[in-house]
Amino acid sequence: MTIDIQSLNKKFGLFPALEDINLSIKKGEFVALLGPSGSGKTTLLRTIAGLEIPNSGQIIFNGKDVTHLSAREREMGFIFQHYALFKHMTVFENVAFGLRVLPAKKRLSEDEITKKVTDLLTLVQLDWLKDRFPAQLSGGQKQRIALARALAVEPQVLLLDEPFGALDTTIRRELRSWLRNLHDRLKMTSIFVTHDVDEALEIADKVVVMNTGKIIQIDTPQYIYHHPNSAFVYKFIANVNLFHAREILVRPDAMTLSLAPTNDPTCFEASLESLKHLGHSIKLVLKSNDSQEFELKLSPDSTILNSLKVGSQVFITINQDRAFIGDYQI
Amino acid sequence: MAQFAQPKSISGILTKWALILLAFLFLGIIIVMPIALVCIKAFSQGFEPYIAAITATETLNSIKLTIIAVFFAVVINGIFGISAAWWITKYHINGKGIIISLIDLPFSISPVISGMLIILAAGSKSTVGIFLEQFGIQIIFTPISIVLATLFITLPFTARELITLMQSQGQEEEEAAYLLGAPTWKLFTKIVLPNILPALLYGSLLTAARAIGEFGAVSVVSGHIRGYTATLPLQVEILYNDYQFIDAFAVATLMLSITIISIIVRAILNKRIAKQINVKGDQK
Repeated sequence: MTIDIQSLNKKFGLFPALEDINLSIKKGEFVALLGPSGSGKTTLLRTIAGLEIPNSGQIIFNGKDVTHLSAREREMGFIFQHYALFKHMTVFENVAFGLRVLPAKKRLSEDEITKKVTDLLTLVQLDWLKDRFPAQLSGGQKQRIALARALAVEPQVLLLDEPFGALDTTIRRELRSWLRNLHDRLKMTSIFVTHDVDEALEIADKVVVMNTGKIIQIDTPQYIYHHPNSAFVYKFIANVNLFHAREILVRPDAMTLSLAPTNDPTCFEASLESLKHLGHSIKLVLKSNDSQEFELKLSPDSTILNSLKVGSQVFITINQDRAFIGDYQI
Repeated sequence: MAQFAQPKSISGILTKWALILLAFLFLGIIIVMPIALVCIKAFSQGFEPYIAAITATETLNSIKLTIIAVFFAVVINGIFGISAAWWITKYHINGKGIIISLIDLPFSISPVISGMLIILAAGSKSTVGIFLEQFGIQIIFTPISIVLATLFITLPFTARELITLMQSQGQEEEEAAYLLGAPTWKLFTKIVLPNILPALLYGSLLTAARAIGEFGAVSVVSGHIRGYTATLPLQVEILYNDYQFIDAFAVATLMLSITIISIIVRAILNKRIAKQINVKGDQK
């Protein structure tokens, strides 16, 4: 299903939660709504689902205006951060719910429901839990059951609100690649909300960066990383150093460190304040001669590490292609 | 849970037993003794006068009226409580605090004043009273006023229980069911009701207990017409004022047993609700 959102506005009282949102999503795309908390990403997702009513603008599914359809009629799958499983029902009944509440004419027979629910539980690899109650499951299991429940009604669009937000890091990583595979296999259109940059860059086809109720940039993960259209995106995607004197934002991995000065015009002298091993990289904290502290990242294999100690005088060259120059104030 | 070590010294043991003794003594004098005395008095002339007292026509009528009042209070305030709680938790509305305070109002008004409010609102000199009189309907000094007073007094119980629970539960489950296509009545019977059932029963129990025991408000509006507008507590008062002590205490034992049963049921329900809230806590 294609989704078109045109000049959407939503206010909570006087507070503008969404301002002039325009977004097109192609069939089969996996889209991440990325932004800090309060950026409006969840409100946008809930508005697409029909759980919030916009003040103005249109939501169009496959060319059909659904702005005034209720959430019930939009037939979308929705995944909540805290799972929202029905506590008083078994796993099986949770998954069967969407099938059982259909009007009698459209409802499947009991045998067909059993088969479908079993298939879905097999799909999420949890068929052995069908008689348990939600309180007896782990967080990762709950979220997979919630997914099976949403898929039971065969939605064309899957909406996920911080689906892995309440899970620990290992399970998060595992589940997100699993979800990406599932999305490709079922050929759905999916939109998920996250504040985790790595998550968005890793699994999305398209990243929508939001801030204060507005869309700031829409691009592929790679493009967003290398060509942020604003200082906000540049800063949000990765840690940055701000050099006031030079009006430039630089990522810790966009600088080269050398023991002798280079010919590059950006080259400046700094002293090493501290050095920390983070496993996959080494984090250096340096201070320039005009007393500005900044961070720099080195690979643990760098040979230069052998000649560095706290207090060393070094030279820094900024990789200008990967820095953000210009209006850095946000 | 951490437990204190048992005291080993003699003074420690003495203190412990002194405290236990004191607690039992106090409970005995303030609670157990009066209850026992009521029972002893009720059976002081043997079993037959007791049975005669509680099967007297007037008493049976008062039981009937009490049951009617309890029925209306539980059903109407139950329906009101569910709708108010659902509405308050479901929609973003301004002035929620004012509505909740209004619901609480009957708690803070003295029951006698509540009774007088009803006389003011529906008495023979009020607009409502004058209007209804044209159709030959009288409210004050009839069972209708008893039901009205009971409704007013017990309004907060169920609503309060449900508002607290539903606010703590949030509405994600409802939203999930809604998105899965559940029509409103299925949403209510399959999701909302099972989640609130223990709290609803608990609120209804509090409502019933208060409706049975209410004295002040119904006393003001009842007019004390024997066998017609006397609820159980009013009947106890009537009998007592007539110096029919055995009858009065016999009827009192009826109310006592209802109280004891309600305490037991409350304890059971309380456990279930606490469990429900804990389960929700684990999910977060």
